[in-house]
Amino acid sequence: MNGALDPFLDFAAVSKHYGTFTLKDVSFSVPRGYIVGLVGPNGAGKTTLMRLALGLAASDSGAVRVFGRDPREAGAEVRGRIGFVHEVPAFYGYLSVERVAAIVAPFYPTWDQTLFRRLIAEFGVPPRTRVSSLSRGTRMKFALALALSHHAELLLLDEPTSGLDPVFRDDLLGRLSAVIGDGRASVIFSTQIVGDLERIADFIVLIRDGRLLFSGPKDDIRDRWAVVRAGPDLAAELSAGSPRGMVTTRQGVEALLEDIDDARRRFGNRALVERATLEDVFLLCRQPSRREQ
Amino acid sequence: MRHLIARDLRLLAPFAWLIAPGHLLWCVQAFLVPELYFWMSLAAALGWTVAMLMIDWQLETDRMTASLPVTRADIVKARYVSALGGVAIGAAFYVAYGHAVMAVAGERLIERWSASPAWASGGGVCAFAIVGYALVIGFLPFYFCFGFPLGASWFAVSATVLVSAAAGLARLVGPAARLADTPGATAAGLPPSEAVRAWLAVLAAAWGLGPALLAVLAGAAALGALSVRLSTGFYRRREL
Repeated sequence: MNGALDPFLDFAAVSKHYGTFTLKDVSFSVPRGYIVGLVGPNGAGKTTLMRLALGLAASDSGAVRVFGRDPREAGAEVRGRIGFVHEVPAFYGYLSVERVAAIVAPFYPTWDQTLFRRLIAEFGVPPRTRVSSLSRGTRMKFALALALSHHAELLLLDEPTSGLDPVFRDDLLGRLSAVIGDGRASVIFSTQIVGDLERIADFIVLIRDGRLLFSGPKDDIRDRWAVVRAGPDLAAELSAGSPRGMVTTRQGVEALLEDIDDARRRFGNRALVERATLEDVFLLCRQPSRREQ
Repeated sequence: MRHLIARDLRLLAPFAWLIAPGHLLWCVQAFLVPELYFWMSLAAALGWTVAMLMIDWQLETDRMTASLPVTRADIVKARYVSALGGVAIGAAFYVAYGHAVMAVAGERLIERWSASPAWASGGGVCAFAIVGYALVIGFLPFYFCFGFPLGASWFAVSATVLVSAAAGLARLVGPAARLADTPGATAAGLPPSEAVRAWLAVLAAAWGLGPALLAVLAGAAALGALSVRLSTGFYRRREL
């Protein structure tokens, strides 16, 4: 993904330190017209990346570019083209949905009130209800309606599917696919639900403990990566082959390898070699990508 | 920036009905201690600013606001405009209700305090505006530097130290020293309206009324600009 043409969002060797947490040398790009899934466990640095992209925080080193601009310098212009959903959507809870929308709408010259009304109707968000009375899921739907109603070119969605019921999650993922259908917009969304990525993400960015472990097309993983499941006797041999991740137990060993053909050739007759799923990558990937190092 | 000011108005709109009865409540205090009416009216006027900041703090909406297509400088300026607007509205209520009190019980009050209360004079309104302005431009840099609860604490400590030092100095060398026997003076010193009038009189005697007023306005504008500059610098560095 690095070096992709016309990147909407570009992180180049970005580092950021907060107390005990450090985001270290993260580099990846989000090209136009794609959905990027940012995946990692709690505390991996997903929200920090979103904040850096919105210009809410400054990197200690490296460069963040959104639409080719530094969001700390050209923040207002950049944010006018971004739709955002924060992990915990903060609203003026004592105001009604339509009053909060009336506060937000004037900030965006491209605001589409008809679209907003249609979205909250489809999402089942009652316009006259106080935001504080909405359930967490409905509040998230409201946040999404706000983010989608000004025809943003880049959607930054921090855990948008958390708190949503499976039916709406499915609907939302379909909508995100539709948003980028005309190739004009890009979406970057963070999640811990790997199934969401399987369904719609074109690119995967995997981070853990502030380090980028993998960034690349989802199909790369499906087509090329392998999981080798073997007895404990193969642990040493697998480990020597520089796997991207490996888990050893008393029962056996699971290793993540980048080349399924090579894995089949070397271990096919002694172990179970399968195509890796995103869940395998999420669970097993422990070391930074050699391409990123 | 106008959208941010409109936002502040919308945020406070559900509580707007409280303004008139709230000030009326303070007005009752005028029958007890005139200076209490001054300070309580001022507190009510500044209360709107504090309410806005508390809403943002309590609901953690700072991040949402900063995620909108506005600059940090816009956010800072809008807060100043909203806060000073609150002081202006508070001053209007202070004068209007003050005069209503005078119409109802003016003679009794003058007899009781041996002088016309501060709100009956131009000095009272000036004092309200100057003290309100000083509090706004003094407090907001602390707020934008430290956030709401911490900023308010730091401001309270700093303001107490500064005002105590300034009051002590004024008693020694300023015109306030010559007005110590002014009726209505509190244990803490002269009523602010009297102190403001006294200082203005000194300036007017030295430079003439027009230049003195211009000097006060220029000084206020310079301090206000410095305050906005500080706040903007602090808020740009804040991470949300």
